[in-house]
Parts: sequence; structure tokens; C-alpha cells
Amino acid sequence: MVGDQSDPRAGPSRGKRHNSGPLTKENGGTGNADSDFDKLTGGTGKSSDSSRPPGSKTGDNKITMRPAKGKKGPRIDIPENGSKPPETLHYDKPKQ
Amino acid sequence: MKNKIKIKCKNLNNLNKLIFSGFKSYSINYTSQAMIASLYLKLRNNSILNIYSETYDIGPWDELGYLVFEIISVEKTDVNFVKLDKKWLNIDKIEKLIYEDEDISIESGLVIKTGDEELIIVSSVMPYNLELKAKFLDLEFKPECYINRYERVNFKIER
Repeated sequence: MVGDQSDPRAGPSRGKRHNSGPLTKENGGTGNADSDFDKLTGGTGKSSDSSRPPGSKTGDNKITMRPAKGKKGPRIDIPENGSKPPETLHYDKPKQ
Repeated sequence: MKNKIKIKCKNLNNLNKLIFSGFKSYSINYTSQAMIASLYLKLRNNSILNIYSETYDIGPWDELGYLVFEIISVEKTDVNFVKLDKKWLNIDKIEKLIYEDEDISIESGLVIKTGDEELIIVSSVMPYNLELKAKFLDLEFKPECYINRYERVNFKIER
């Protein structure tokens, strides 16, 4: 996993995805979802052309960021990679 | 109390009746990163059924996908439809794929059967994408949950 596991909400989801906190510092995380998404996608993120929420972006490696919505903070979805399961990184909603 | 999240029909009634009428062709709508954003089915009456997935928040971090259906108008020049064998004009059975847990029941997929073939349409492990499986498709298949985790429930025609 590349996301923080210290939050009690971290762990396997009901599906195959693993829920994690933000990208860890060891993996280059900054605590900021936009910066971390750029790091994870090498800056290749483009607006998503699917039914995803407005403002979503996807990189060439299929890593996707969904923006904060309502009470939810941004989420970064990482596809499975070899033996690593798919992972969703959860960020706190940015303070206004 | 158990939360029941059903298939969402945006601008149509009697979804099962529409699908039971059969379909002639299909088109897969890919994102620019080659993920499946939606599936178009051209029905017997030439209307086009657009199928995609949205997500429902079960808890603070946990979510599951469910299917959305809508009739859309598509210009012929916009989409390349792939013709299907005539057997798909005669649908034998439709089943819902339902994820069931102590606090949630969510309709995440559909199985459409004709003869010995079936088309599985289900929410992807990547939120807001679809996964498809059928003999006539050569695609990776990565549903959100292991496929045997979903209960198959007969989607009867409403007469």
C-alpha cells in the first residue's frame, strides 16, 4: 500500500479495493491531494471523460482523482498493480 | 435498517421489458485511458440504452457501485456499433447481481442470457467504470467484488 494505514477506517473495503489515508511521506506524499495526484501520475492527469463527478482527473496510468464533494474530501483511485490490490486514498476535505 | 440501493433508471420505465425485447448491436464507450465508461445497447426498436456505474457511500470511506440506465440519442456518425448475433434478439433470462450485507443491498450488475451465452455488466473495481464479460468480448474482467460475492436474482418481466 502507498497510503497511510494509521486511520481506523483504513483496511479492505467490501469490494476488492483497499481504503487508505493519504499518500505516505515515504512514497512522496505531501498531504495535498492535487500534488500527490500529480506525483502519482507524473503530471499526466486530464479531465475524466466518463460519468465520474465533475472535476475528476485521470492520468495515463489510469490513476484517478475525484474532487471533494459535500462532506467528503478528495479521493485518489489506484488500479491494482501486480500483487498490490487496487487502493483508494482518502484525504480530508480542504479547509475553506 | 438495511439500505436498499436499486438500479437507477433515469428516463425509462420497465427496464426489464426493454431488455427482454432484445438488442441488435452494442458499442463500448472507452475513456481515453481505455477504461469502460459505459455500454450502449441498440435495442430492437432502435432506441439506445446507455449503461454506466455510479457509487454509493456506505460509510465514511466505504462505497460500492450500482448501475444506471438511460435512453439516449446518438448520432450515427458518432458511434460505431458492433452487430450481434440474432440470438440476442431473444433474451431468455435477466438476473440482477446484488451485493448483500447486514446493512446494505445494492444492485451492482446485470446478467442477460440467451441460449448458452450470457452478457455480464457490473460495476468495476475502478469507481464509475464498468466491467463486461461475454463470449463475444475479449476483455479483462475486474468487477468491484469477486463475481461469486454477488447474489443472482431473477429480474422478472412486469406484465
